[in-house]
Amino acid sequence: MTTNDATAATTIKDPEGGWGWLGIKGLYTQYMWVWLGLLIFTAIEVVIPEPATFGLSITFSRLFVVVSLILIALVKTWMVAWYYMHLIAERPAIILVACVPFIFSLFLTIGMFPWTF
Amino acid sequence: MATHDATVAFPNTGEESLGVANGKLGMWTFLVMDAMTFAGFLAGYARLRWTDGSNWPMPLETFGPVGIQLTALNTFILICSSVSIVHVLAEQLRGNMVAARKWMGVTVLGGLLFLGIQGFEWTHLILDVFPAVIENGLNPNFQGTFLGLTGFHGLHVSVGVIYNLILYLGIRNGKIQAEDTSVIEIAGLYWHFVDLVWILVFTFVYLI
Repeated sequence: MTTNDATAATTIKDPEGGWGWLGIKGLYTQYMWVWLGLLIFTAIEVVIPEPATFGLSITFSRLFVVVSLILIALVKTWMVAWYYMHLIAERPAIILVACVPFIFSLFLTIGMFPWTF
Repeated sequence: MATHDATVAFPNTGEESLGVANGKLGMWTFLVMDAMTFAGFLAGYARLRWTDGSNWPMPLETFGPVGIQLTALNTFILICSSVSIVHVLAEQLRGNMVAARKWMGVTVLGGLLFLGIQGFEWTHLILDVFPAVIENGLNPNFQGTFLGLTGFHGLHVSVGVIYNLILYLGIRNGKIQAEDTSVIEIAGLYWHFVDLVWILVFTFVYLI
C-alpha cells in the first residue's frame, strides 16, 4: 500500500483548517466554493440555449450560444482539473502531462473539422 | 514553493518518478491516453455533424427541454459525487476514516444514480426518439455518435463505481488507513476525470 503523497497534503496544508463552509462543519470550504461555481455554471449552460424555457424574453445568437457554451465548459473543466485533481499544487511535469491531451484534441478537432462554410 | 514545502512535511515513502508516486503517475498516464480517446470521439462527432448537408438534428429540439434538464440534473449529480470524493481525501488527511467512508458511500451512490438516470434516458431515446429521427430522414449518425459517446462515458462511470465500491469496502474493513492517501487520491483522479469528460460531452452533445 502506498502512503502519504505530496499533492494531497499540499492542497490541504493544515488538515484541521479550512473546514466549516457556510457554518456547516464537515464541509471543506475551498472544495465547496468550487462546487458552487460548477453548479452556477451548469445552470447558466442550461439557460443560454433556451432562455424562453425559463421565462426569459431574451434570445441569443447562435454564435454567442456556441462560443459561450464552449468557454463555460472549458472553465468548468479547468476548475475540476485545477482544484479537484489538485493540479494547483502539482509539479510542473504533471501539469505538462495533463496539458498534452488538450493540445492533441485542439489539433485533432481543427484538423478534422469540415471547414466548408 | 508550496509543493516543495509539502514534500518536506509529507515525504514520499513509496516508489516515485518525476517526484511523484508511481501509482499517481500511472493514473495520469492512463488518463492522458483516455482523454485522447475521448478527443477522437468528439473530433469525429464534430466532423460528422458540421459537414455540409449532414442533416443533423438539433439536440435541443430532439431531446426536448425536459430531456436537457434531466441531463443537467445528471451533471449536477456527477459534480456532487466529485466534491464528495475530494472530501474522502480531506477527511482521510485529518485521520477521520469514519467520515471518509461515509463520503465514499455518497460518491458510490452518486455514480449509481447517474447510471440509473442514464439508463432511463437511453430507454426513452431508443424506444421513442431515435425511431422518429430515422423516420424524418435525419442523419442516423446522430444516434450512433450519441450512443457511442455517452455509452463510452457510462462505461467509465461503471468502472469508477466498482473502483470506489472496492475502496469503500477497503476503508470499512480497515485495509485502507489514514496514511494511505495515495490510494484515495489516485481513485479521485479517475473519478474527477469522468466528471471532467462529462462536462464536455454534455456541452457538445446536448447543448450545442
